[in-house]
Amino acid sequence: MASIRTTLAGLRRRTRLQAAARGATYGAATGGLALACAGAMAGPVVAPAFAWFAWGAVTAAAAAGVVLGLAPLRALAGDRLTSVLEAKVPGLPSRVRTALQLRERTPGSSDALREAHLGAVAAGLARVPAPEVLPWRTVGTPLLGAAGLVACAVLLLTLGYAPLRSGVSSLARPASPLADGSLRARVVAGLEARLSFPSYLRRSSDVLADPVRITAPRGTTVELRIRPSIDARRGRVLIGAQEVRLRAQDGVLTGRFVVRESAGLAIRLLEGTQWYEDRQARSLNALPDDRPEIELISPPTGAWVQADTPQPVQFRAGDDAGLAEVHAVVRLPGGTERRHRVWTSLRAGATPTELDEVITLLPAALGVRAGDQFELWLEATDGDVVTGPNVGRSATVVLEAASEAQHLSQHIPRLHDILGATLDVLGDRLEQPIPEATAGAQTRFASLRGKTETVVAGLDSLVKALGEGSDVPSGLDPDDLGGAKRRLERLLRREGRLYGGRKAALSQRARVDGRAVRELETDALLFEDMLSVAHVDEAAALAQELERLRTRIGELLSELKASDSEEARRALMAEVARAERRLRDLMRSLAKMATQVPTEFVNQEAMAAEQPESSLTDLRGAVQSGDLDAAAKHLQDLQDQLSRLTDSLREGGLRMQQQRQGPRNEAMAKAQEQLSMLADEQGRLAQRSAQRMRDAFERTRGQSGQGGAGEALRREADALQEQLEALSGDGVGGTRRQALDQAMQRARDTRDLLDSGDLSEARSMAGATARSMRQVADGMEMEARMFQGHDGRAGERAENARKASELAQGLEQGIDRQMPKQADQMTPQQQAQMRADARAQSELRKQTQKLREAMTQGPGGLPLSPDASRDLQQAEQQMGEAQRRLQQGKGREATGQQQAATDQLQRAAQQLRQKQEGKGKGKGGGSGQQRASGDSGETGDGEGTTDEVVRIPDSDDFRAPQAMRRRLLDAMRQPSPAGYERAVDRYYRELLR
Amino acid sequence: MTAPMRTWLATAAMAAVGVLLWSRGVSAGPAPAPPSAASALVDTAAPPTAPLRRAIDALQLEEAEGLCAALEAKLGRDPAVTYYRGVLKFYRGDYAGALAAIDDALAAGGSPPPWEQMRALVLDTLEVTRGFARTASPDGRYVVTYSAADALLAPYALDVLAKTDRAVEAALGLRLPGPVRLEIFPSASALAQVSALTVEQIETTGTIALSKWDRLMVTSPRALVRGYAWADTINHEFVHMVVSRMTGERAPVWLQEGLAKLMERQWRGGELRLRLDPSARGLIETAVRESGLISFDEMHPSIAMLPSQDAAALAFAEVATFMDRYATGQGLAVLRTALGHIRSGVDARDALGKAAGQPFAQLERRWRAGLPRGKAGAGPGGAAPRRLKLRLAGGEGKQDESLDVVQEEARRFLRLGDLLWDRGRTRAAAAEYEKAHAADADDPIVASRFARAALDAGQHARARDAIAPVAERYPDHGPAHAVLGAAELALGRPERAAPALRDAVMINPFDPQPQCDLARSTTFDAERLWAQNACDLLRRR
Repeated sequence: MASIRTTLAGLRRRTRLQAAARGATYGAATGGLALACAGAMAGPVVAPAFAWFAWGAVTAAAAAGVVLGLAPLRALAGDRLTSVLEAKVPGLPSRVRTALQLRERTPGSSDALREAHLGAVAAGLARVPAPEVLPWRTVGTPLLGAAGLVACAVLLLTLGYAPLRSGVSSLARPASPLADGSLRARVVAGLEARLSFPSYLRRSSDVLADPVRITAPRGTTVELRIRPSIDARRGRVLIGAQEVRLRAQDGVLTGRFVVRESAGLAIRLLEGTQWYEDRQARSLNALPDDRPEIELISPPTGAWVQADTPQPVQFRAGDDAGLAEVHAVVRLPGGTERRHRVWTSLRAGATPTELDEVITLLPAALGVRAGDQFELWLEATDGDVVTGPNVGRSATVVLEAASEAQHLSQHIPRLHDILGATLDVLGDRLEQPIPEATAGAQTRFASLRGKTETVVAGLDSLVKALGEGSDVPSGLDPDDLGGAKRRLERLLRREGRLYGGRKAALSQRARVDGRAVRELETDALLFEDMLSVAHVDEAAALAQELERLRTRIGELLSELKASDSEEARRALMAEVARAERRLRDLMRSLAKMATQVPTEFVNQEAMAAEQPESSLTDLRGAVQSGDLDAAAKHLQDLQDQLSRLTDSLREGGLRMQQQRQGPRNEAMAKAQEQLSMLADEQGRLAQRSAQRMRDAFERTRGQSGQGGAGEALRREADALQEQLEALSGDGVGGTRRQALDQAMQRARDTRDLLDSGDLSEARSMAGATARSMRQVADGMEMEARMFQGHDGRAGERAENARKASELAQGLEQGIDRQMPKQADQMTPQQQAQMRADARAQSELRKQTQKLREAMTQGPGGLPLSPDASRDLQQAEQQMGEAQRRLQQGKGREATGQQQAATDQLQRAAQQLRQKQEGKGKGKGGGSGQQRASGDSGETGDGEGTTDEVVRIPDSDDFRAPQAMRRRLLDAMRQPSPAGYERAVDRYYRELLR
Repeated sequence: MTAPMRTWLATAAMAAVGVLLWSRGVSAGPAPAPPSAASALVDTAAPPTAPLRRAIDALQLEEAEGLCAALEAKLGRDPAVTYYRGVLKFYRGDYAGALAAIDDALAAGGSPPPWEQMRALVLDTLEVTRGFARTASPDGRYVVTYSAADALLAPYALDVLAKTDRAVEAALGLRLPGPVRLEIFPSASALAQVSALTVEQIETTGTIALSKWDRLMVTSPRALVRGYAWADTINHEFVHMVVSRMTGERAPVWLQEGLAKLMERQWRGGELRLRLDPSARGLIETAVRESGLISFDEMHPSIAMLPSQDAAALAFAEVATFMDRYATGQGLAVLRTALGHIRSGVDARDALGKAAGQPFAQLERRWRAGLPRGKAGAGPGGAAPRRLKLRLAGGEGKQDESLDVVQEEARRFLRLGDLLWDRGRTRAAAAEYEKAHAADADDPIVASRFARAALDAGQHARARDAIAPVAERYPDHGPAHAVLGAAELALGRPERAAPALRDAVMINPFDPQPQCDLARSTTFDAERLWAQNACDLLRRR
């Protein structure tokens, strides 16, 4: 029985569902039609009453449709439902109804029969499932199809036809009244916002379609294009308190405003006399331009800088919109601020949002003076021309411009450490004898090597630091320090070989150890002397700075007396503050000096800085209280005290110099004198050789007339020039143009030198021409192989270049062939003189060697000047070479060597002179350092080295004389005053010789 | 005046200083006062006070006191008398009273330049000695004033004064009326301030003590890097004071110096005999060999007139040996008689000849004949001991003694040794000192350093062998004695250590090591107690 009821319930649900589908379709069709009609009548804006009415009509129409669809359900109510089975299984509805009637027992009925009947009905029902009884196709009547079509058509119409959609929409959201009488409704059919960004942002404009929220940087110009849904000819855009008028143009309302603040954005349109405000809430988001961020990375606070040396300043900056400029701002001791632009986007060509730069800053250009303590910060500005520019500021660092004394102060601790490390190594060597066992000896050496390397590294660092400074402190001589470093390195290398794989005898190791001890002893004393002198120099420099400050204070005091202005007073107080700071430095320096410098060189009583301090304090007080006469008196006291102090320091320094450096200075003066004499003598020999060569050449010319071989060479030179000029006009460019120009210049020089008779130099110039042209020709040939060029011109050009190269080479060889003939032209007397000069040259070389040995073993075993010794060693080699060439009768080569030796000797003399004057800068910072860095091999300073290979210079080593010749030759080409042509020409020729 | 250490050079310079002081208007102490010196203290235009002035100049202070009292009674508050009262007070050590009196005189009677100068000197002295402590012997005869830092020296000084007083009285027969005042100045600059000398003059001439204005003035050995023979110096100055009294300030400088040198070690007791140190002996021997002796005619009237410091040094060596020969040959009674003749105005040479009963020329010939002619004073290589420069301690700063080392190689190694020593590398320092010693074995500074380092390394015998000959040749070099004593003590020979350590203490009592070593090596209880106290005190500093 249950299964019958279940089956019937299923059938009923299906009939209801089908009826609902019909009802919905009919309802949609009728309702939709009604809505379309209402919408068509309503327009974009409707009054609320109309909307209510329209919606009522739509509802009624839809309800009618639904009712129509549900109407068939009434015929299937109750047991009539079974009628639907009739079509499928005839008779079954009757049996089902019977079964339903038998579902409750009636008295007298047979249960078995009832059960059998029910079972048969259930089985019959089971054979006809509901989808078969009530298929969906039965629902699809033409009417229903029409209704469905209508509904779809209405839907599509509503969605696709704007007026209808607008009408429907306005029905859904009828206009609501606002307080000012206007109505809020959907009146904007379309909105477009064109954003034009401020120029500094360097952004292209942007267009937003139907934006609800307009986000733009401040200063952005926004152009709105509004397509109204009503017939509006005018309108307004309300942005906060700002009102922007809209103008109609081609059915579109447009308006423009500049983004300044964030606010709500309302669009109001006027139709007829009624104002409507668009229902869509909109807003404007004005993006503020953030201040740039900037971080000063270096120098850190407390760093010392050189006022007159460009200082690297590292910073990192960023800005959301882009950086425009970075300024360095300095606050000077008196409170004055100076700024300097250190970076600009104009130069950079972009406004980056991130910047990581290292720029250089010259403190002196900002008014910083040596000894000043000043503040530095950076300011980054963006290019915001609308609300800005915005400025970001870095943290402030306090820096100190090192004065000469402070510059020295920086190096003193380093040297002190070096001295300590040197004594440490020396102590180890003296206290630990070399063990006989190899393992023990190696352990000892390993330890010593590490410590010695520390000394070497310290020296290297110090020499470099001295080289970097603007001025080398007189007490610290980079030449001597560099020499010590090289000697230690060399010793270490030699000693290292004894502890490597090869087994060395103990005696051998002891010998080298002894040498190292002697070297360390010499160095330790050298460093100690330097330290003592440096301490005195430091104090003396501070005292001198104070004296300068005092003078300045005196001037400012006079100005203050004359003007009595606040500005003058402020300047004076700033100077007093400066002096106070220097005085504190001086007191510190004197305190250090008292413990580091022997009292024999320090007059403790005269060097008390308390008196100047007191005078300075009194001076400050007097200025502050306005008692300028008293201030002048205190200034006078200060002058006297400083004078005493300076005198005392000077005397102490001189005493120390005399005591510690006396013998060395004497030896230096003597060596310098000898060097000058040697250089003079060598110069005379070189001059004599050169004169012999000129005489020989003149004789050659005399024998062959003005033509002869010389004329042939000149013709060759002319041909070369012509070839080069032709090539020059043939479109050679790029780097090859440079080489070609050089070759042309050299060719001109060759021609001039041939005229002047200087075959040696002419040959050199011809060689240079050939080299340049080889380079040009090689490049052109390669290019021609790869690119044939227009009409195959590349290959032709390359061929011409090669030809020019060969011409130059031929010229060089021609000159070369010509030159030996000069030697043949020497008279017997000249040949005898040449042999005599060879002997003189030999003698001079011996004297140079003797002097070098004496300089290498200066007083106390310390070389007088390592660099000068190296120059002498080189000069010796050149002299030896010159001697050999003279003996072989090769005057030209001998002359070159002799001139080179003369230069070396003069240079060595100059180095000694500079050293004596206490100005080691030129050597230590420059050449000394270069040499130090180049000494990686076994080359030394000439301090007793015998294994050093000295290269004999070739013509390339005389670039400087060549350069001078070049300048002279250029000058020769300038027009001479009328009547003086020959004299000027003769003058230049003499110079060239 | 001079100490053994700086004997010849310094005494030569002293004469020059004396002349300088006179020229500055302050009397020069032991030298006979020339007319210009008298004018320094007195107003010559005051006849009633002339005897008083003369008495003061002749150091007859007791007589001067009586004269002054008489004049005061007679003339009342006469400015000149008041001034001389002030001068007398100054001579007696009452500096505040002297200043007040001179101020009164100046207020009452104008301000003649000499009075102003005297006032300045008194004021300086008052200021320098302000805060000085004062120690006197129980009987009050000896009074020592000193700064607090020199307190250690005071008991030693009292002892030396008493012994000197007895010895000199026994030799010359004069007992000073007393009290005998000794002032110990903490620095050369302090001495300069109270003596009108400059520090530079003190440094260059070696004048570190004076006998003047009836008092002894010495610089503390603490003010010198290596100390000096301060006890002998006190004795030396004491002799000057006595001779000045005995001759009425009329003995020439050469006689003063000869006698003072002869007697400067008398406080130690024993026979009167010149102990010529090797340096002076070397000078004499060289001069005799090379016939370079300076005659007394050349020395007269003043050694300061000699052409060079070397000549002056030789002259002082000569007069010391002459006075030695005179006193020991003729006897002390004859010497006293000669001094009496000088007081009465006889020329010194004549007085000596007259007392001896023979012409001075003969005395001179005999003396010449007895001069040493060998090479006893020669050291290694035949060289005479070198004279060490006076080295003042420059405060607490670093000292560089290497500057006094003559031989360059030795100086280099010494500096290296010092650098290593300062860093605690004692063995390495010893190696460097050894090299320095090898380069110049006769240098006392080098030898002392080497011996000190050897001692530290436990090489006691080596240290002793290195320093013993140097200590012998340089008796005034304190560190040599100190190290020698320490080496002997370390070798277990306290009886040999003690004399060396005493010598060291008598040169520099402020060096703690010899004091401590002396406490360990002496056999005298009192000396041990003193030395131990000094050792403890100095170690605590």
